[in-house]
Amino acid sequence: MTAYGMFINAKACVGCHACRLACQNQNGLPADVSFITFHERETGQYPNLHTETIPTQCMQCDDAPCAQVCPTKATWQDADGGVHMDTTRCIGCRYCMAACPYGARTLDHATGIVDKCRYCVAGGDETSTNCVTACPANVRIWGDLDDPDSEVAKAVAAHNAQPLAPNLSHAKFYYVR
Amino acid sequence: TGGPLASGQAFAAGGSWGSADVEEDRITTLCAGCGNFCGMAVYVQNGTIVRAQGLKEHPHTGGYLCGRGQGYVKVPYAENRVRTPLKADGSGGFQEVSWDEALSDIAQHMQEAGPQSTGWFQDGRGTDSYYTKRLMSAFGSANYYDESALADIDISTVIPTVMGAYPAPSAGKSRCIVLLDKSSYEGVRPHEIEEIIKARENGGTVYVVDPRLCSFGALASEWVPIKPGTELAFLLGVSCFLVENGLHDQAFVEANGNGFDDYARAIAQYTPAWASEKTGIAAEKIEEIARALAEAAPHCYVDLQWAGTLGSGYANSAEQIRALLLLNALLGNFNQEGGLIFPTSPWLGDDALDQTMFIPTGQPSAPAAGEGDFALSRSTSCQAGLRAGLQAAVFCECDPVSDWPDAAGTAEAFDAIPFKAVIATELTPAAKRADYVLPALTFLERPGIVGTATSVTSMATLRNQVIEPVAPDAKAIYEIVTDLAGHLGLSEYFAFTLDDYNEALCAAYGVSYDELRRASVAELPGCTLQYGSMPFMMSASGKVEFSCDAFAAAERSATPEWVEPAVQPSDGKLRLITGDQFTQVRTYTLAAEGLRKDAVDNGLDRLWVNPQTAEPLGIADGDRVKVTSGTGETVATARVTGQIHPDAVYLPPHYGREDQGFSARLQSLIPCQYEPGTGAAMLNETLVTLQKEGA
Amino acid sequence: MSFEPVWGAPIIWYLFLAGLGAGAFATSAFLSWRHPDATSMRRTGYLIAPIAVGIGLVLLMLDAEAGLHDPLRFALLLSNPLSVMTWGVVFLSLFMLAALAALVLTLAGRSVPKWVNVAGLALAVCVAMYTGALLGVCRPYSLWNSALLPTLFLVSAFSSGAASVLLASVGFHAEEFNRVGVLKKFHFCLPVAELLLLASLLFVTGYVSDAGWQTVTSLVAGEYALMFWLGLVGFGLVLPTALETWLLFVSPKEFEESRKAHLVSALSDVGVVVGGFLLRYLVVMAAAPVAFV
Ligand SMILES: Nc1nc2c(c(=O)[nH]1)N[C@H]1C(S)=C(S)[C@@H](COP(=O)(O)OP(=O)(O)OC[C@H]3O[C@@H](n4cnc5c(=O)[nH]c(N)nc54)[C@H](O)[C@@H]3O)O[C@H]1N2
Ligand SMILES: Nc1nc2c(c(=O)[nH]1)N[C@H]1C(S)=C(S)[C@@H](COP(=O)(O)OP(=O)(O)OC[C@H]3O[C@@H](n4cnc5c(=O)[nH]c(N)nc54)[C@H](O)[C@@H]3O)O[C@H]1N2
Ligand code: SF4
Ligand code: SF4
Ligand code: SF4
Ligand code: SF4
Ligand code: SF4
Ligand SMILES: [Mo]
Repeated sequence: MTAYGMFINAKACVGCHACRLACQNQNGLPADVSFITFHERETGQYPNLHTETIPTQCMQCDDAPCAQVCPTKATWQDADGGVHMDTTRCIGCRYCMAACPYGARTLDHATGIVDKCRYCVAGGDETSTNCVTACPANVRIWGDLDDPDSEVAKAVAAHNAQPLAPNLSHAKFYYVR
Repeated sequence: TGGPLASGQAFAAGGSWGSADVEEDRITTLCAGCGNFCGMAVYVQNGTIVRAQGLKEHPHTGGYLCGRGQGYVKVPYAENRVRTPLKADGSGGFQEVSWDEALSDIAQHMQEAGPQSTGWFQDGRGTDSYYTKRLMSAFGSANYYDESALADIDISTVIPTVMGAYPAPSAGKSRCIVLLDKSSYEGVRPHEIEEIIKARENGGTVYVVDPRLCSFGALASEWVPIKPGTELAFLLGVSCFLVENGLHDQAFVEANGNGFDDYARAIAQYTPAWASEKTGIAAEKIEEIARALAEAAPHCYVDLQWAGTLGSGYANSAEQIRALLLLNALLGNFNQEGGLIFPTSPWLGDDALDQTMFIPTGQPSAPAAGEGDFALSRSTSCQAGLRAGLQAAVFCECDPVSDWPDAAGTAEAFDAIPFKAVIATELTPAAKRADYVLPALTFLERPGIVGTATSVTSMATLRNQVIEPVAPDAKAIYEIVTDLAGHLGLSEYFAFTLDDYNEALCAAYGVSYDELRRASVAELPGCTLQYGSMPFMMSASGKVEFSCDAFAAAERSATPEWVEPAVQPSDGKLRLITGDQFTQVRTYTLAAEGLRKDAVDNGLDRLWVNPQTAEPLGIADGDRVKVTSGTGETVATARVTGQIHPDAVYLPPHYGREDQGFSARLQSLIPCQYEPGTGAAMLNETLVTLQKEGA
Repeated sequence: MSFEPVWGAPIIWYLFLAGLGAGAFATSAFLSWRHPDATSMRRTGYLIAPIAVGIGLVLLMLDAEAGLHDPLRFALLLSNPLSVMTWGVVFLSLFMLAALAALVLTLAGRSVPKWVNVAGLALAVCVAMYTGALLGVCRPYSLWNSALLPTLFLVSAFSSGAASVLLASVGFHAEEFNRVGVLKKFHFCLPVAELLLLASLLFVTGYVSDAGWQTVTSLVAGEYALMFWLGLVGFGLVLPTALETWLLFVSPKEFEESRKAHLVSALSDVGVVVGGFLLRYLVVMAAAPVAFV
């Protein structure tokens, strides 16, 4: 099996938003639709602070709650567990938005269509997605988690990276925090 | 074109992970998101820009663009573009006019006003400034104003005086880095991000000495909050400790320094204990940093950032820059891996270009209107120029109304100039108040001028045209200037094409124009730095001036000394500080809708307040807060955060545009002022009070 | 933390009207079993059912904007047998068939066969519970993600459905209204059950997660407290229970059939209907998503 997933080293994220803007360019998204969201976290007290920027997007859940609830199969899952979006089938009921634990679904107010990260592979380079190649801090690695020799699988193992919220879904995004 | 299916449809119906089969052109050019001019490849489908990526070959990018670079590529498609020349109709609106009509009228007004009463204002990017400067010289006017007084005048005054060579960081191999006043990742070059990560991976230490923990803090080893305005004390404290304990590079100082003994005597009083009082940093921490630097030397540096904060921030900024340069000299890190490097680039003299084609313009007879007589320099502030009683002025890519201090006073001074033309890509607030607005092409719609990017191996660079103009009637600035010169009867000075000029530059640099048009970057022959060599010093002594006559002549101390900032926070008055955010430059990047929305979605225009400051004032996170200074007031949304020093509040400089849906306006609060030594605008010498709105 | 509710007014009305319609049908089916002679009231219920559900469905379509732009896409609604919404479409369609059949037969003066009533009642239960299950499968919301919610919605649906029929009857068919004692007694129990279910739901929700605690706080002591206590609990549940208790068990028999008593009854039914709406409103709007970072 192939299980495309992502490794995110949130410790290195400098919050530059290059990934968000690169993604919008690549996918022709309107300015008010972003597949990537940033979460600022601050713990401790001045001057002993710990701060984080955690980028999130569709986590390619194995148990894809969004695909389970989508009545039209506009959101659907392939045999490998990849979660896809066929915008031409979407009626805009927003059920997937309510079901997604990560707020990863986006609503285009102009069309009513609900979308999400597409795992786009830029310009024929099938080794990476555009948010990966755009990140100046090398925060992200994309690839096949089931292939133990893949860069992403090795990084997940080396850093003991963990999904953000295992209680909410079986996500294929592994974070170092 | 295109909804969500237009491109990047990799993981779409059918479940294939492959990319969509669309013809794509790849064109190399240079980013215009900020003054770094990073090389980039832009991918174009059916004539429309779809994506961009940093050029690996360009020394500033490392193969990446920053967030604003990614977002700014969409600026040609901005809704608010100026598309045709516009003439004010006298009742608050504009009518469309022809280029000919506009330019001949502007030329006539310039001639009526005469060279002494006509001004040309140009922002920090200086697009096509070879043409614009040349036009003003040919016209016989010295009234050419850039924004250095608002940006880096302290730096550009002190470096030539103290050393005369311009440093850049060599972060990758560094063992210890001190970033002072520098947001770095929010401010500077994408490649530096990778470099700093490398330094950390190699076991290097990165101290961020800043009253604000910017997002770059993610990569630093430690944040050392400092009382804003006291960096000079921190630098003096570290320097004193090094010298007192013999931890400095004595051989380097002996060989390359001038007046070191006077210097050592002068700074002996600035002990870490003394510096601790001033800065609020524990004396042990100052000593720790000094030791860490000494242990790592020469593979270490204290960074010199290039912005308003240091370059025109405080009454003591010039002194701070001097102390900073000399501290680096104490560490012997010049042209050392992991230290400060001094890249080489070719110097083009007056005779580098063929003088029959590029006819010399001669020197204007009168000094610039509003010329400043400052102790260390004579450069003219754009703020003073605006207030010098000009009769006609052209503002080229320059928006004083949005970007200069004392927003109300600046608008008044702007309005007081009887005739104004603005060259702009969008209808900026300044443009809206002008007599003429001339539509400029954005950076991707026009070819550029050959430039250089300095680094270990310096490069020639060229911005190439990427798409056909989205606003077909707009023109490039070099075209506008050439046409205007025609109307002024100065055509002989512009009897060459852009290609002629670029070819001449390439010949002088020894690079191929064709290669630049293909790849945007080309190595400059003979411009590779030799580590371990000493940079060429252009100071009076030809050495590092530990004791400096030029400062003495300006009635300052020949050796570095402590200078108090102009204002002190107390009694509920807080210091207002600013600093660039990663996704914006000034206010102009907001024209790209993606960048504007990103700021809205992420609340980037908020005012940072420390909880210790906010609580007694009853201010909670998310509250609307009235910020008042002696100059003006503005209303901002509070971000209550421990990431800011309790003595200060931080407001980003990018969101002064009410017409774009932002309310908090930094520039309303900062006074128009001039540092007596350099004419710098002292942008951080402002005290404010906060009041919860409705309270 | 601030969050934007995924759904707004149209969906709240839809959830409410679908439940009310199902409840109205169930009321008529109940009447034909226990009060076969209350024909006008039964007709009222058969009338309310398809109209309420129909309006709800129109709102649902209007809210699904991408479908509205390309209506053929609504045909795809049956694609995913795992989707609660797909079940909902099936239940609603079948229920509409039964409800329309019953209405047509009634209007034509024919009797509604028992199997239609039984099937319709079963479908009414499905529709009412589905409106709860629809929310229930959404993992991020502790308030929704509970087995109690479909039951609560079922009880509330039948309660507001019955109230709507009683309310219409008290105005138009007062004489029949006086005779349906069993229905009234049954109806009396529903707000009481609802109150208990609501209390349990909030209790459990408050304990399962921080988001649940945040939700409950916003309901009982925060942003929504006024609407919750005065509107839902006071006007929608306690007041009807108190009024009906008094009417059914305290007041003299003669008073129960007086015009005054009818007004009291009407007030109580208005309370139940408003309460039914507020329940949907509060459940949809106040639910806070579980934090994941
Ligand atoms: N308080 C405070 N103020 C500061 C600073 C600070 O740190 N603190 N920093 C200072 C520094 S370092 C600098 S460099 C200055 C910069 O300050 P400015 O350079 O004045 O600010 P900009 O926003 O760059 O103004 C440029 C205008 O040019 C227009 N423009 C944008 N792109 C184009 C184009 O392609 N063609 C044309 N024709 N026009 C274009 C835009 O409409 C914009 O309004 O700000 C200084 N101001
Ligand atoms: N995103 C972005 N990048 C830019 C630009 C931009 O506008 N936006 N502009 C370009 C230009 S023109 C320039 S000059 C460079 C500037 O780039 P930098 O030199 O990095 O300058 P800033 O980003 O303004 O960083 C200023 C830092 O100083 C801190 N600071 C403010 N006041 C004080 C103080 O009193 N003491 C100390 N110690 N720190 C203080 C702020 O918190 C902030 O972290 O960036 C270039 N790159
Ligand atoms: S993250 Fe959200 S959108 Fe992505 S697969 Fe999981 S539930 Fe679906
Ligand atoms: S909004 Fe679109 S993708 Fe989401 S559940 Fe409804 S039909 Fe499916
Ligand atoms: S994988 Fe592609 S679609 Fe998904 S966030 Fe990254 S760039 Fe956007
Ligand atoms: S591009 Fe990388 S560093 Fe920048 S915000 Fe995205 S993940 Fe973080
Ligand atoms: S630093 Fe960013 S905005 Fe500036 S030139 Fe480079 S990519 Fe463009
Ligand atoms: Mo600058």
